[in-house]
Amino acid sequence: MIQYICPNCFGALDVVYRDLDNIDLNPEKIASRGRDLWRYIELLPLQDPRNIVSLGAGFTRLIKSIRLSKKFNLKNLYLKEDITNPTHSFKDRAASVAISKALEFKLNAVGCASTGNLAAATAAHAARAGLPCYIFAPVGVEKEKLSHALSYGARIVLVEGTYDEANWIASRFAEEESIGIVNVNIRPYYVEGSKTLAYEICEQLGWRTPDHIIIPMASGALLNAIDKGLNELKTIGLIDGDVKISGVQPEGCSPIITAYRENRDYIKPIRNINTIAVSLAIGNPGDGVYALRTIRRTRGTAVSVTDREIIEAVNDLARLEGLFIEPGGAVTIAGLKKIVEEGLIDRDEEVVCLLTGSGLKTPHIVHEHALEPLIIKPSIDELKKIIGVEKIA
Amino acid sequence: MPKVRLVLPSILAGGGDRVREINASILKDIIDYICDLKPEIRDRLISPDGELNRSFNFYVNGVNAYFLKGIETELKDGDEVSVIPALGGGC
Ligand SMILES: Cc1ncc(COP(=O)(O)O)c(C=O)c1O
Repeated sequence: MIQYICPNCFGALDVVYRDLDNIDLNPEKIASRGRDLWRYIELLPLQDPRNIVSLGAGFTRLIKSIRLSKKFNLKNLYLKEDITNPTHSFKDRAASVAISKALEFKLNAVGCASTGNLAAATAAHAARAGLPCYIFAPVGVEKEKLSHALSYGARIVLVEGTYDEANWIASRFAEEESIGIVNVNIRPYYVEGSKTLAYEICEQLGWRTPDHIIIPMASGALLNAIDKGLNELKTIGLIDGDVKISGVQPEGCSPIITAYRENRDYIKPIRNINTIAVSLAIGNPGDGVYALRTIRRTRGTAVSVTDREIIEAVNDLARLEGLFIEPGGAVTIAGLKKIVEEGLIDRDEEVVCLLTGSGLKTPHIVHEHALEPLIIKPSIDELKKIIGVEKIA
Repeated sequence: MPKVRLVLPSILAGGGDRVREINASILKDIIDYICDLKPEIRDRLISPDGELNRSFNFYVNGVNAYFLKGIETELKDGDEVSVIPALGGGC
């Protein structure tokens, strides 16, 4: 039986590393290593490196924005484009570490509850590890995300209900079988993978912290993982300085934001969910209270954004920066716009927005909100009639 | 009192059976039963104002009791109440 809950307070357990301030780790050592998240192996919870299951997740680009920053009148906007992972979302980080740990625990199978992105990430790493994989998802998940996970041979169970009901079924399954559900009973290791995003951002800035990081929230786990990563680097002495951490949710599913606005320290779960950011649709966010605390402690903020604002962000990222991001990832740009408008960001502030999932998995968003392709006969005259050369010149 | 099937997570079953038949007419009876097993847990299950707290989720026949009548949710013979740690962990 894996222990994943604290027997005293019944909260989620987190991994703690002993003697972090004495750890033998420095920028040169890290720089000499492979370009994936396992370059931080001393800060990852594996006893035996032979158990590493890696498809190369991590070390994605941190891009200095040019045109979007002009639009928002910011000088130092960075975009962490975390979509060049093996299955095109940040979830590959979490899956790589959790499934490595599943091997270390000698579990017979793995799985997850998913709003979409974790499904393929878990399935791909399970395939690499040679473990059977069971995915529990609500019926509303995008079909592209399901086919992606199916392609790796995973067994997918669609639950008629919300993510929270799928999560409940997965939790029951984890209690009853010798299976590692990456976001339930091996969750402490899952978040260790996500926190490497914080390590990378600091390393890519030359072992400095940005002033502000803006993060998409569903359960709130990623936001807390980023905070954990930053705190660890501080303890080691690799960085100093405070980082404001802000969270963004889609308005149609924003229980954490509502609690923030109402000055509550607990979350009221919701059941009626309506958003195009399907990957962020969690009505009963398990890490919500911790995310609230982190946002308040770091003096960040919490905002919700409408579907229309999300689509504008998806389009801006594509047309101004050449980045094709799914709604669940683009919420940070929509959120940034709001935070700027509220006057909560200085022009000089160094801001990093996380972009956590690829637009390739939500193609319907483009078809609904972009120009239709033109269809012509193979005739240059017809082409010129429609486009007109003078417009191109 | 109706007889219901209670399914506990192992952290609450304390080495005993995870599945138990107990008598309960509302969810609060179940909470009292769990508090008898582990008295220190009460404030993790219900808030000072008597609301279902968030360390555990209670599902009655697959529906989160938060969306039914909370601790006042009525139970009938044969109902299944399943208690699951309220965990996040992404998606
Ligand atoms: C693209 C994307 N970004 C962010 C998140 C946020 O995850 P968390 O549940 O850790 O808050 C998710 C969760 O599925 C996601 O799919």
